[in-house]
Amino acid sequence: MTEVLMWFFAILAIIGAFTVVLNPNPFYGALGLLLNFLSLAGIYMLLQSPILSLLQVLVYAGGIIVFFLFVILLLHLRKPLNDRDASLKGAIAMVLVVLFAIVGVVALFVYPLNDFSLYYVTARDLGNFMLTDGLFAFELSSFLLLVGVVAAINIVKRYKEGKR
Amino acid sequence: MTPVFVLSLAFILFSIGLLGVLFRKNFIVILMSLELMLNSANLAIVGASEMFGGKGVQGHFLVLMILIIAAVEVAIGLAIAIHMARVAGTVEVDSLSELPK
Repeated sequence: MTEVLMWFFAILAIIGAFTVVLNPNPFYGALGLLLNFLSLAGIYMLLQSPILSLLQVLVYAGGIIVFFLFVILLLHLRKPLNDRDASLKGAIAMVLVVLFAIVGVVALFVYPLNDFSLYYVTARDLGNFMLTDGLFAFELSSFLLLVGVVAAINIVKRYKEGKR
Repeated sequence: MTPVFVLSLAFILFSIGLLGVLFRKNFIVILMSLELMLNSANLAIVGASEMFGGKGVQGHFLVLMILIIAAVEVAIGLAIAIHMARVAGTVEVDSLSELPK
């Protein structure tokens, strides 16, 4: 059962990723990104980490995708675009990326890897770690979120003529 | 679930995202491809933390931090996209080049 589910989620994730890259319409690209995020949530569930699966659905599929769709509709990008790099540079980039993928996957198959020792990480474990050992990084990340909010508002703010 | 499967899937998703960054010229599509790459890095980190024994909580915490950074990056990136659409009238990255060709 796990085998079937893991192949199912992996194939769905790859289909979603290809939709983002190849579909000329950014709206369908965002929906492909949603498919990718949801299937990665399934893979996290198979890796015995339900808290990450939950966070993936809440933050990525619920927050970031909605944000992307909002901006796409705000900027009237609903029509298909013709924005692929059809020049020689684009072709060379494509060949190099495909070579990169092939070499990396072959290296993973050749190199000896440890087996998984799957441990069921609960929200309690993650919270305990977050408020003891990872407290400084956690506080820094809250400060980063504050800086992000201030920067985003400042970038999109309209200034009056002659006044800054 | 084998480590080879998870890490190969992460690698393939990362390559697809890299292809999108290099191959598309729309700023929003480039941001979405960056999200793909960050997600595949998350998957690789979770796989590695399950692989090296222990409780794997550190890997999960690192993934949580990457998730926060990705959220901030998307917020600022889309703010830049809106500003770009106002100033230049388009979100194609090539149209912003001011150097003579």
